[in-house]
Amino acid sequence: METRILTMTSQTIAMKAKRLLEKNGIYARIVRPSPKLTPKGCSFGLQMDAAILSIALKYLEQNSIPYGEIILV
Amino acid sequence: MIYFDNAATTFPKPPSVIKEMVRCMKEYGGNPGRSGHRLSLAAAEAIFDTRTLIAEFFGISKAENVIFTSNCTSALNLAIGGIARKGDHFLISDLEHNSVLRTVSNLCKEKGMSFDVFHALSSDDAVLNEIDRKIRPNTKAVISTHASNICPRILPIAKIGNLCRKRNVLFIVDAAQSAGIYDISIMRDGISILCAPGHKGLYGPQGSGFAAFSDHFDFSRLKPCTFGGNGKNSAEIEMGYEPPDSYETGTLSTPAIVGLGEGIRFVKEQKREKIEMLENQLFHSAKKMLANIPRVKIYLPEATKGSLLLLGFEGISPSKVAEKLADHGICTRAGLHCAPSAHRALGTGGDALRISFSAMNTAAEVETFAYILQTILRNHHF
Repeated sequence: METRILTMTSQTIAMKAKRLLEKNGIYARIVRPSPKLTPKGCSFGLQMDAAILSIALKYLEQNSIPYGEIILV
Repeated sequence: MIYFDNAATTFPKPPSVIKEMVRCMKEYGGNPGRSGHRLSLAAAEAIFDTRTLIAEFFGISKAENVIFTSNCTSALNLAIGGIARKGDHFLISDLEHNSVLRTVSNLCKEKGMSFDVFHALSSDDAVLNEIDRKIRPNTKAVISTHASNICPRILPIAKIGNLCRKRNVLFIVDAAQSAGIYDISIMRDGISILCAPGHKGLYGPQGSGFAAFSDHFDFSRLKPCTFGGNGKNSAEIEMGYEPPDSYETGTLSTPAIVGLGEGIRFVKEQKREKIEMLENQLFHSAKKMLANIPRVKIYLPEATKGSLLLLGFEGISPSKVAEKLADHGICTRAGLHCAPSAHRALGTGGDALRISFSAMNTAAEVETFAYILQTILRNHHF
């Protein structure tokens, strides 16, 4: 399965995003991407099936939950 | 033993609080917000649950606006120190605990700010008029206790919040003695920052506390007051201005925070309104019994609502009475209660004895306390 990591500004926001997505039937797991992949150093991300990324982004935007880059894994 | 020192910390704690803290240390004691493994994530999930609970309980929608601290004092230091800038003016009440008084005084001494004091023992209308009159163009915030830590004075925070909103100044509330007992809604009451301990009316453990910010709070106005690692943006030297992580440095106390979460669940299960009512009943029955004991002076006897009482004794040191009560297994607190300004406002002369109630107390305990106090005052020569 092809997955993507959506970087989040903090673990708290990652947690908030994960719960929102879960409520809407989308499974994502919190991961710690390598600092080499994130320019500011350590961060958190949500890893999910690439196929559901666009709907996940829609939910996050609708609920004003900020996210960073999309990393291909 | 009779424990009437609940304004210092509630005791005993609900068994569910202790059980969850132990479970945390045994089963999910990873470092929250640092690693990606199961134990770290489980700890972070539990902390997020408590954040969400606090946000809901105090009427905000953003869980991330709850910033954990180790107690109410550190929450007040973050709130006041974080917003303070050179030239700012603050308005505080004369009932403030040293957690506000010393923080504001030191900022004013060291950083060129100023503050004025309003008289919290006057009527609600007079309090509002005085605050309105004393707000200046450079007033950054009104800082007020919600319920005094030494006397049964409850400030009209919703009215003060409304006034602050109209005058465009921040409103910081010290809810050390009210969180979990009285109805508080940050958004409804116009509160900018609510600071509370976890270990008093919320029945969590010592070492827990938080500052909860309004949903509209602009965090670019809040400077971090502590610096260090927080598990994010580690390559950057700046802490940033993003709640909660920019303001939570170092490892959080997961056991304390999950204990606080269980404490809030306890308050919700017992119903906050019922706890308020019980403590008020104990306050009234204690007041009635103590009024009939010779040599006892009740401060603020006209108060109609409260969860604590402040007592003085004719010709006898309150500290000595507290010592004698302790000999009988009764826990109270005498002295200045870290609130010298409030003692001056009440004219205690710098020593008084406080009895304070919790959801765990009973009417029978009040009766026993009154009986033993009467016996001590009658039989002992101080």
